[in-house]
Amino acid sequence: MSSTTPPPATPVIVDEHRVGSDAPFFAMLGVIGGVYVLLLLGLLLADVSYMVNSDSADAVELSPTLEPWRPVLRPVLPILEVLRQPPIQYSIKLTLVSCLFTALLSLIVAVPIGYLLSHFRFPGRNLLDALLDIPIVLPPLVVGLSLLILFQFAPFSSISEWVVFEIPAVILAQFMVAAAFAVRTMRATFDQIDTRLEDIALTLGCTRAQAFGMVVLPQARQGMLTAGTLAWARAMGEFGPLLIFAGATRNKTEVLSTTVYFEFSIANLEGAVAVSLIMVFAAIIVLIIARVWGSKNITI
Amino acid sequence: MRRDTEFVLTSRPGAVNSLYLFAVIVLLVLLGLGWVLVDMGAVQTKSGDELFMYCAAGMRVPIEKIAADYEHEFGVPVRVTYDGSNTLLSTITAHQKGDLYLAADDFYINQAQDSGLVQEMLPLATMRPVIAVAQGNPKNIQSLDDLFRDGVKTALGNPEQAAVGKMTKKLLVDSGDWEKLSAHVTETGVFEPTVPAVANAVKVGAIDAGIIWDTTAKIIPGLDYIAVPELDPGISEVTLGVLTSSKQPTAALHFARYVAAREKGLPVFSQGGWEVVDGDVWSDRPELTFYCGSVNRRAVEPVLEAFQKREGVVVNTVYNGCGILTGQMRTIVDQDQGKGFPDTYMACDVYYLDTVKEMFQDAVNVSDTEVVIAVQKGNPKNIASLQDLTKPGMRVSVGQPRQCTIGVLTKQLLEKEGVYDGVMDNVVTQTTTSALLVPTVATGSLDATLAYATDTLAEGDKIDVVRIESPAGKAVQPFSIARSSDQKYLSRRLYTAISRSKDQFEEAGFHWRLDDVIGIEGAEQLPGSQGTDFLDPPAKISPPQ
Repeated sequence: MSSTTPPPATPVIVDEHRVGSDAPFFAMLGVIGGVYVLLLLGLLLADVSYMVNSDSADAVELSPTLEPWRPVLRPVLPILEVLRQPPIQYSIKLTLVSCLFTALLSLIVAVPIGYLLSHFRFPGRNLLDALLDIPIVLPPLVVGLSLLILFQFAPFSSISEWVVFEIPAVILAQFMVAAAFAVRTMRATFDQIDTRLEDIALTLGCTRAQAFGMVVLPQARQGMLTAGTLAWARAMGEFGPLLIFAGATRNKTEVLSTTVYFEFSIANLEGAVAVSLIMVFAAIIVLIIARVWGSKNITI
Repeated sequence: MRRDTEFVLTSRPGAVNSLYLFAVIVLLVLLGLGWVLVDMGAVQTKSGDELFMYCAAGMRVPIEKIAADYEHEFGVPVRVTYDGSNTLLSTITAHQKGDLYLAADDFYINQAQDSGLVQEMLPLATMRPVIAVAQGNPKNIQSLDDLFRDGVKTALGNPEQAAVGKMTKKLLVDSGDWEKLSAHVTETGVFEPTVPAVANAVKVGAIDAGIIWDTTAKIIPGLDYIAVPELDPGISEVTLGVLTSSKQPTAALHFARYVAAREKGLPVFSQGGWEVVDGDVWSDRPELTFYCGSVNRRAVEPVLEAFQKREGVVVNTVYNGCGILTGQMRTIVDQDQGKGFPDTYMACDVYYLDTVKEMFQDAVNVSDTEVVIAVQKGNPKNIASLQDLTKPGMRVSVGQPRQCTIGVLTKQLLEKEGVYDGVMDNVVTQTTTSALLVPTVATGSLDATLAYATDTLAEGDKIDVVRIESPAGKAVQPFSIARSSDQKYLSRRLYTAISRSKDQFEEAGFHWRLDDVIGIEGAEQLPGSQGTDFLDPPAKISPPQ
């Protein structure tokens, strides 16, 4: 070994090309995304803390055994109080049933349209595609107004007595918007299903209906669940069209979104926030269902 | 063996076409949900006919209570849909269905009536704009000027969207503060689309002061309010309208009367902080006593019939000569309707109403008719003027001036034309009402009579008419409501019904006078708008006698 051998230059080179830390990048992502997430959480927390601080929590009567827990129960008490009112119970029931009804109707429409759009090329396909987006881009009020106007014309006018300002109007107003979202989801679902298996089924002698029902549909199960829950959630959030087309008649066509509006309009903020929180809980539960059992990779 | 293999190949056990499975399950669930929905909807209609009402959202609390009371008492459910007054108006316009519309401000109900959407209007309560502040008035706001202070954030209703905003703008333009305040609010405050939005902004502390209705300020906990002179004149009326689209107007009016009755609906409003009108006394089937000069009978009768049918009320009409009617009025102790004193009176001429005017609110002149000479068919005696009636041998009938208006008018006319004594020499008979005059000539008994032109129409085949060119020969029919009536609002609606029957009056030969007031300043004050002494303003603009 010669003592004159120069020291290897590699450490210097390694030093120059050392990969920098990823921390700033992720910090930036975290900050930008975090602001929005925090804002979202802040909204919900503000609602809860408003309930905690509202006087209405003191007004609720509690059984003696529960009385010591009042400080803990404060955010829930106004909600319990609201739940005790028969019109609100009716509103909740109508919301749940009508949204489920709407979701199923939306699926019935969304499955065939989604399948058609995804698998087939036919004249007017692009036009149909654009048409289906109309309820998504239109202001909801326009949908309600248009429905109201539609039912002034024959043949709709002959059944308008049983529809307008009645429960069917609630379903129809929800359906017009919710179905558009379900169609988008189902189309994305069918887009992701490989047509090979279906083609093989056809070559093996299946009819179109058999191939669709036995091969395609089972694969679309998760997508259908997602489409259904999205339609359900959209129906629950429906408000403008309902107000115009179904009215907000107590014990008849009042759903939770209209309840919030009217509690607000008589300046009963506690009531409005309490009902809002009920809706938030319902939405969270449904969206969790969609995430756990639904399709993980479908977006619209 | 071979058959079995084939079977397995074409139809594997357990393999189900999920399309059909899906269809069956969805159908079953939909049926189940549909049944629940039908059941929810059916509950509403089991109890029979129901009423449908559009109601301003701010009135929800009292209306819910009144509707519940009404259903309990009469078994008729009232379904109410709530929204902003202006939005509801658009909905009614588009839908053309429903029975009632309660607007938070009479601006909208007047608009609805102008567009033919509302038939009857029942005022319920009044309200005026005030400055609302958070409880305890932390910014110590005492006057309109305080809103201009630095650090005071103010919310106003948008004049294009909210009635309170429209009213605020009008009042402050009048007081000269609008330019400055709207600039200040644009800079530091906010314009909101609805009253509750302004109130909520003040309540949660986002805004220091807001101009809202005093009624709203009273019912919202956590708000104080200050009345200021600039805003005080802005009285607005909460008004309930019956829609022309209603298929059950009688039922709708029954409920409307209930809401506006002083023992039924109105106390609920006043408990909620509203300043209510005096209202009518409640009665399931109210009865109006209507004294009517006999000249009006032909025009008024069909109107009364339709009015009674639509309102579901009874109008006891007494037709007679006005002297007799006013004589009766004076004999009724304490102007007591129970003892027969009229709620309303439509005289043959203003002359007789003047004799009892202290008992009545100011009147509106509805119509007028000329006094003419009725002669036998073909005019065998060649009568061409009043002068001819003084000829010797003429046989004439006139009304008795102490008992009927035509008698008074005839006397005034003849005196004015300077032929009184000459004609009276030829008078063979004097009748107690105008209705008896024309038959004296139509039957050929007499040569001439001085009668209302309207009374001669029906006998056109038996008599001829000679017109008298004299301004004195005209009877003007005024309509008025008794001060003592406890059915003033129902009487007002009777007036409204009469005021819409121009055709009937013209067919009966009257000249219609209500057109004359249209276009005159103050015509918007016509009955049905503001105040309770409703007949006052039109009287001021009636053409002079």
